[in-house]
Amino acid sequence: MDIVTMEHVTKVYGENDTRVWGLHDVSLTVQKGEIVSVVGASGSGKSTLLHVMGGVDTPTSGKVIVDGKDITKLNDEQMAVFRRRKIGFVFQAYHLIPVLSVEENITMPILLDHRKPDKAYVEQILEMLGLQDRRKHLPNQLSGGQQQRTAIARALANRPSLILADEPTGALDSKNGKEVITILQNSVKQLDQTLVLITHNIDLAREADRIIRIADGEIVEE
Amino acid sequence: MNHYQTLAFHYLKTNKKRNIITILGVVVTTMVLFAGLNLMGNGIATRITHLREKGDYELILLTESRQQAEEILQDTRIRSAYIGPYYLYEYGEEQLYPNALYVTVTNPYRMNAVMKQICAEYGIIGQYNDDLAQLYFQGNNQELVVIIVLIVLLVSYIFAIFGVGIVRNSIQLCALEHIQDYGNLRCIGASKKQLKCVIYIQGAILELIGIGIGVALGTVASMVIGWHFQISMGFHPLAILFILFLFMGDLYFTMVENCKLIINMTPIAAIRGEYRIRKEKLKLRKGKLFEKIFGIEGSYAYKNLMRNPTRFVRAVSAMTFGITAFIMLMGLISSLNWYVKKIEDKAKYYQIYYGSMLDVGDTPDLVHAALPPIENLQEIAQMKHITEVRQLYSAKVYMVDLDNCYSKLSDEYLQSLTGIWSPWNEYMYVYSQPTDLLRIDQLEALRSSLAGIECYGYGEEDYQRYQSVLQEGTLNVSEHGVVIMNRGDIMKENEEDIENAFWLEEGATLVNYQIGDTIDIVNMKRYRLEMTAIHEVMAKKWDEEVERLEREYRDDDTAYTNTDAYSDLLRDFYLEVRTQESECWNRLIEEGDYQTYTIEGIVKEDVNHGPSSDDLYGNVQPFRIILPLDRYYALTGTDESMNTGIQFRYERPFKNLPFVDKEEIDNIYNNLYFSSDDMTNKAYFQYADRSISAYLESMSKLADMQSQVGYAVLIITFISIMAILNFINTTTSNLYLRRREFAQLRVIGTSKERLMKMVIYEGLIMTVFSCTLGILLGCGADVLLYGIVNQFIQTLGFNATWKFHFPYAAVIISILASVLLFCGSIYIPMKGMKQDMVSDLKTGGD
Repeated sequence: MDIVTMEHVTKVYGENDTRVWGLHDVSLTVQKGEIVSVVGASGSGKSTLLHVMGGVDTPTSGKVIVDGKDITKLNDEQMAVFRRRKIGFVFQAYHLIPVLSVEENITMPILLDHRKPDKAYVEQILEMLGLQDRRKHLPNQLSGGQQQRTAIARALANRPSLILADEPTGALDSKNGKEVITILQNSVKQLDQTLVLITHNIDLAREADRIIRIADGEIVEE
Repeated sequence: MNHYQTLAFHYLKTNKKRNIITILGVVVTTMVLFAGLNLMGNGIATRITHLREKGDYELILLTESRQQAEEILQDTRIRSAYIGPYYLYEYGEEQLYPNALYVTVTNPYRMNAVMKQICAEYGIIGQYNDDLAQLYFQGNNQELVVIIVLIVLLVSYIFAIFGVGIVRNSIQLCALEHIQDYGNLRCIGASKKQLKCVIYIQGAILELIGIGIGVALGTVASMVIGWHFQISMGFHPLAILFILFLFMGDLYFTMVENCKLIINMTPIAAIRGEYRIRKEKLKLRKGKLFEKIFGIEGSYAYKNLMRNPTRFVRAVSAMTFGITAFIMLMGLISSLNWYVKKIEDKAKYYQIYYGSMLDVGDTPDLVHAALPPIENLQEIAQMKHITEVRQLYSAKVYMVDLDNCYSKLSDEYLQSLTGIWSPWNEYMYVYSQPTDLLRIDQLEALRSSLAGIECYGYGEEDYQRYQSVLQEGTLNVSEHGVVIMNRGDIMKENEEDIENAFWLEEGATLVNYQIGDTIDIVNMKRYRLEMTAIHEVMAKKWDEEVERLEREYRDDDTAYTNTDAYSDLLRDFYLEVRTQESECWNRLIEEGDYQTYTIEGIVKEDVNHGPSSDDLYGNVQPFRIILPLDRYYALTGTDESMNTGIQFRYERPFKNLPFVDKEEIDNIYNNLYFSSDDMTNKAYFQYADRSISAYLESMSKLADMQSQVGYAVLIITFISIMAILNFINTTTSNLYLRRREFAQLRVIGTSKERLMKMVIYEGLIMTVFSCTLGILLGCGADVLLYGIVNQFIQTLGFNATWKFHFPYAAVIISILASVLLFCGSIYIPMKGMKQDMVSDLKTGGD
């Protein structure tokens, strides 16, 4: 079953002389439960692909269907609901909310969805990511690896069907990087999720079910 | 770009809106300060010119001879001089210096030193022209001038703090926004000094543009003020130099702080964006209360506010202060309003009057002499807001049956006379000790004084005005009918409360006359004629006696009016005149030359006149007869020419506001309170008795209070504008700095609408805090204010206490204003902020 379908997706930045192709007629599918690595040089369009897939950025043309819904037709409110329910983002720079504790950061997407956090599930995530002892800490009191684990926990909090990780190990040392990838792989398997992962590390990329290579906004190898 | 310093211009261009607000702040500050300094400078220059026109000299050198004076004249330290006489007063003695030298020195700012030197060299003494010298910070009053200069410096410095503070904030935000750039610049080899230079240039550009425009507008403002107050205005470049020195000096020191911000940052920390939240200061906050009230958005908003508690406390304190000041000010304005209404209620139809009471023995000339000159009255009559002018007619008429009259006086009226002088008290006291022969004489002399009651005559329109206060009977009286006013204000005593021992009771019953009761009144025309003749004889006798006293004390230091002989003379004449009056009165009664009048109407208050200045301080108002003019003439034996005063109706401009045109009120006041020699010369052994409405005095005091409130409004408005501009500036920039955080929230599923809600709640929480504190403090301050205002009102003799009322209007305005400021300053920039999640996540806020 396809969880993501992108059809002739194009993303153009700027106009006329300053026009730059972020994505150029990209079409791809991602199966449910699959782990896909996206690799490519800097500026090749990897992050743009991920942003468009996650509804963070809108394509100039083409269709993006996630979990059976064409997200290019959603308005801002619907898109926000879609993101918090269906997508879990993990960034290289963690992007945690600095004034919230680890636990609050994790439960934020649930609270935004006007729901009460499932305490047992939150505990499970904290335990899985080894953050039980850090739940009351603020992001700036954590190491890089712990921050990234918190970001992963937040991404998992709403049980999204799709996890999008943009170079999640980029700011970590190799040990922490490996640990993060393992966590992501395990959680995807345990929670029956799909993972699209951008990485520069070819060894990490090889651990995925499929590798997509991208260059100049086009998929060059799949 | 030709030079690295050009970076400063580039950075300034990146946030034009904020820089415009910043410049606006500097413009307002400079404009007000320059206008003030320019006006002050011009005032000093005008005063110097005026003083030099009166006498162009700075020093007076008291030379011993003309030769010495001419010798000193050659001194190069002297620009010009002239020789003239000078009287030196010392220890009560006067000494003449015929060859004093009136000197203008070459450098007036050194006149102290010059005088000291010349006096020492030539062995003479000198005097300053102190009025002129102090304007050059010289002379005997230079300490006072130094104090004034220090105050000006202090006020100017406060202005500079505002004017520079807004630039400091703006540049600080700009530095934070571009901190990554500064890190990059450090990485590629920029020195700390070079980075500081970029910061200083930005500050200087904003400050200088603001000062330039401010000076231009300040010049226009001072010209307008000068034109309004008819002062010839000039332009004082020294004020510009002073402002430049003050502002740029302050800027230099405050920019050090901004520079520290960037130079203390390591290049790598700047690039990583680690400057944003200081790790050691961030604390975990709970925010449960706000979560319960506003949901997750409220909790987030609270936590965000608390990430910088100092800023939160500063913003809330500023707003709290503003609300407190505003509520207090509104309280003051409302007290003024109340006070104006109270005065106007009491002042009745003719708020301004000036009258005398025609008594037996008074000639119309004497009564008219007590009035201001006709030119003054004409000047008042022609004033813009004087709408009606009428002659005032009042005279004393004398009853026949004193015992009957005494029996009609109410108990509270008689009680109120305790402790103050009144003929009745005197009468009762003497009556109780009839053994004292002198007192028996006095008693007899006083009998006719007691029989006198006041009678007022009114034109038809003014008379009919009493219809509204008619208690019983009618105003349309028969030929021998009268209307009386039986109520008035009396003093009451409270033995239990020493602090408020006396108070004025309004509208107390003075007499118990009923409709149908009769009053016998002597033939006033005859009584006046006979008494006038007696007075003339007495006046001649008085003149002779005074002349004798003058002769006796001519060679003595003591003024004859301060002697016991004069006091005895005055007392004897007083007694003699009263005795003659009583004798004449008795004769008329014995001869049956009186008329019986029936009380046909009773009115309860005076609708035409308010209290006089004396009444306000506790005089007891006697009861009176009120009649149409023709009946008045008949009863008092007078005619149209024997008016006793004048009354004016004044239509206060901006009637619904507590506004007083002080200039006009003072002008009327000065014209009315005019003393002429006639007032005393024609009155002989008694001053002409005059009664003036309290309205002008009260209004004048109100105007003083009004101008103080006006200054307070100006100061608070100025501070508020500066604080608001600063707050908007800081808030807008902070929001831009938080773009990455907003993008993070958007990525995890926050819609634009909810994001707006979260941020608006921050404003709302600040509003809740500042309004709660501000309203509490404002109301508390208002309660204190009521106490102070009431004390002020008591000094004016008002029998009223201004009661505390909750300032609804001020509270509502305060809440609206704080919502508008706190939420508006967030909503507008948030609405206009281009939110691009991808870009903001990468570079948001950098």
